[in-house]
Amino acid sequence: MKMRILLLEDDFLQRRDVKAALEREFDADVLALSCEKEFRDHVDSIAEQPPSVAVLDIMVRWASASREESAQPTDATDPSKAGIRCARIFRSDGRTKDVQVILYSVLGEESLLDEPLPEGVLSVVKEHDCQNLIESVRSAIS
Amino acid sequence: MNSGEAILRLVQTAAIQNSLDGISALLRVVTESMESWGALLWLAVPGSEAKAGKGRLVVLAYWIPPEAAETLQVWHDLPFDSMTGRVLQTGCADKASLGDARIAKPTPRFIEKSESRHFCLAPMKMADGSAAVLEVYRGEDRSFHDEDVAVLVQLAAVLPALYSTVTDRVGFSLLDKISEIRRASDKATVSGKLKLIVGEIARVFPCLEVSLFLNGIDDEKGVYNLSAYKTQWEGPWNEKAQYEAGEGATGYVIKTGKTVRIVDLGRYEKDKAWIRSEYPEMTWSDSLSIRDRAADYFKTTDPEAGPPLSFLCAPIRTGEGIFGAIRVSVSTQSPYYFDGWQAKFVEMAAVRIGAWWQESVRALQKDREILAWDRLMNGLDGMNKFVLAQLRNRWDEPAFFREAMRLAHMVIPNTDNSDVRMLEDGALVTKAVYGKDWDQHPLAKQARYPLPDGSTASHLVANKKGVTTYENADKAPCIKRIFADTKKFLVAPIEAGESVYGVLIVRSKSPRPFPPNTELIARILGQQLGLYHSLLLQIQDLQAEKQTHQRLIHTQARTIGDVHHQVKSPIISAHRAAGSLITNRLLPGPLRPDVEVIRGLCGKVERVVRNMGMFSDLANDKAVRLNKAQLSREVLLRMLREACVDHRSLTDPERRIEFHLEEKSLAELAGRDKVGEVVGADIPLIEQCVNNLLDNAAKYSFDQTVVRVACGVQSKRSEFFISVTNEGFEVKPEDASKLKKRGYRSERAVRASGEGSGIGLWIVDEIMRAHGGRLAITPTQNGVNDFRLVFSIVKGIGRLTLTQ
Repeated sequence: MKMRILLLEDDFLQRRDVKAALEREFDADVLALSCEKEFRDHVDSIAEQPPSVAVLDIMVRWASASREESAQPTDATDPSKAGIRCARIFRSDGRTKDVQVILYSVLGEESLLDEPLPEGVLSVVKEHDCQNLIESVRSAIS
Repeated sequence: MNSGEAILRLVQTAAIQNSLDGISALLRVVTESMESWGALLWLAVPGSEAKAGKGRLVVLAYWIPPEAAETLQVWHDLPFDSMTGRVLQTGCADKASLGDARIAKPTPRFIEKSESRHFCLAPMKMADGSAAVLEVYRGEDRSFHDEDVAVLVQLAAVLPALYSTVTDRVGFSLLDKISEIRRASDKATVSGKLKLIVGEIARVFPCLEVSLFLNGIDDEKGVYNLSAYKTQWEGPWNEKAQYEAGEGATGYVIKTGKTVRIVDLGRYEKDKAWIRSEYPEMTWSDSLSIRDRAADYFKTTDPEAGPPLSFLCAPIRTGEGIFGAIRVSVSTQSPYYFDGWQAKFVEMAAVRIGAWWQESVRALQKDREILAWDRLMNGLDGMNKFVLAQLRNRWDEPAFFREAMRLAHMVIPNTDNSDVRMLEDGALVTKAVYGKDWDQHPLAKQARYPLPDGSTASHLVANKKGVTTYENADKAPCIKRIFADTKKFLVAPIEAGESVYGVLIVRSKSPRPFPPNTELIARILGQQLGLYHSLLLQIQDLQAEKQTHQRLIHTQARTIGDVHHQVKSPIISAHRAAGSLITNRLLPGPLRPDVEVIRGLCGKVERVVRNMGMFSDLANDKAVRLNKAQLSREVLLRMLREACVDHRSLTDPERRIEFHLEEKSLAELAGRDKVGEVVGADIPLIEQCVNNLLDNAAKYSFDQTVVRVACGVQSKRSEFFISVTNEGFEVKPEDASKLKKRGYRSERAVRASGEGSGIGLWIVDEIMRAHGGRLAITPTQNGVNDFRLVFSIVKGIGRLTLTQ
């Protein structure tokens, strides 16, 4: 059975590259999500069959423009903390609390949040070739 | 004439009298009824003790033939041991003839000079209970008999009532006249009406002087100024235009509130004993000279021969206290001595004047209060304008303080000088002064008053007291510390909320008290100053923050500018290289999408860099620099095609948003070249605008929609436009202007895209305005948003290049 990896990334070019790298390196099934709303909409179905690793971009939009605007939780208005919110959702659910979570940013060290991360959550600044991100995932699953 | 007929005549005579002459008329009837030469009415002077034989009698009224009246002066008095005195003391009528041992010795001058030979006397009891004697004279050799005495006794019995009838009518007529003057709705001032009242009293009680002393609204407490008078003799009555309580007989009335009636001031020293028993502690310093001065006035060589200097003074009082006094002196015709009834009516007149004066003072106070508030309101309005003008230029707080003090001097009467002291490092420091007194004064500038130094102002601030007035130098010697002649001193805190910033000090050299509303006005002024000072502090903080912020912005802008210059060239080169590969078809087919992405990314970076550069320039107040060229159809077609391709490449394919260039709209422009229209533009900047609009369209369009790019002319072909239409978030009419503001991002925009700083449309707007055109944002219609770059078409400059 293939390893399952969850990827949250709103930039489609980044999403395409990271997804390809993860599939290539780990022969994994990568479920790629594009926004925080999509993550929250799918969290139940994801929990049914939790991934081994969740790779989350720290800064993710709430949702792309849509005719049907969904209500945005009041604690989800800051896109720069979307990844950490999703990590906390995972940690707070018994079914997903043991999932390895890696937060990443493409913007540099300063983009990593000052606030404490949930227990066991790693954060990394992704390099252009995704290599350090791959190493982090590898380390997590080992 | 029998007694019945005589009494009837007396009653008829009394009924028609309306002046003091009526009393003489009554005595004429007595004279005629008694078939005699003349009649006198004698009265025991107040303070006489008949039983003890102390005191004297004076002529209250008389009638003698007119030809005799020209030579005779009927104002002499008699001792109690005279025959008349004995009738008064015994209460028994009598008769006598000249030579009778009972006639007083020496013979009274009046009797000596007249033809009187026989006398008949009857006692009387006046309406007020005082004892009097009615006496008639016969000159011929015809003595009075017992039956004559009996008739005189009957006439003396009815005469007091008839006397009162006449005097009451005269008195009430006077009061009516006073009320009439007071009520008159003519334009006479209060002062003018007071003169009329005084004149009326002088007319009814013919006398040398009637004076009215009043304490007015502007007068020092305890000082009563001569407010109206009527006199035939200037001295000594009006040598003093004001009285202080307790000074002389008039001052005694003001001090005690007791009416004083003195029979003859000329005999003041002789009568001092009973005068003092009647009016304890009354003092009069120049009493000795009065008789001599009166003799001069009456041109009599013998001071004793002059008329009595009768004196009557009543207080003007209300429930609130004594306002002044009205004085009537030296009756110039019979009766020469002021009687009790005159005192009663002068008192009643004083009550009316007092009530009116109080009413007038209150009305004046009210008028002044209204005027003061009116001035204050106008002044505050002026201060607001002053402050606004100051804020537009440079805030000069001392100038503002001086303006506030100018207002204080306008609103608070008798203010001579003032200053504002503000709290600084535990001391009150003089910030501004107002008033000529401060010229050359050593403490006018930056004087420091450490807290607490015991001064009034320090005390006020240290204890956070409200407005305080000091009017007594004995209790607060500090009020004379700066100006020795200060009489009053008012301190108002300059405060806002719980904070006290300083004090406003107002001084007056006038002994007059501050009006009742002064403290309230001062409080408002102090609060206004406090409010402005508090605002000033906040403005200063904001200005400091603004300067810091501006420095930061400039630093950031410089940094951005540096980055812009360093990144611009390589990224443009990369962009062109990628474009060249695509345009010149140098690529194998499968690589083309990736290179299109590269070109798109390069283009995006180039736009971001250009946006940063423009942001830097605009933040540093540099105008958008244009390098205009003709916007040909070919250039336009390439620009728009590339923009559409790049955005298609950079948009998530899963969203299935199409970017469609309406090439037909460009083709349609070809037919219009004959009008000779030209559009000049900075091509890279217009390309920046188009791409900025497409960036937004890519981020905020709904999935599975089409973004359309088109060109055209509008407004009767006076304008050329490039439009970007999409189906996305609704643009409401009120959003159109907000979207152009720097840094504006709607909540929906933030939700839909984490990136973006809200400067894209602002820069587009700036670029278009630099072109003399505009960014037109049409609110959503039928679900479609329209963002349009609009250029004015300059006609007749050259051939249209759009068609080439």
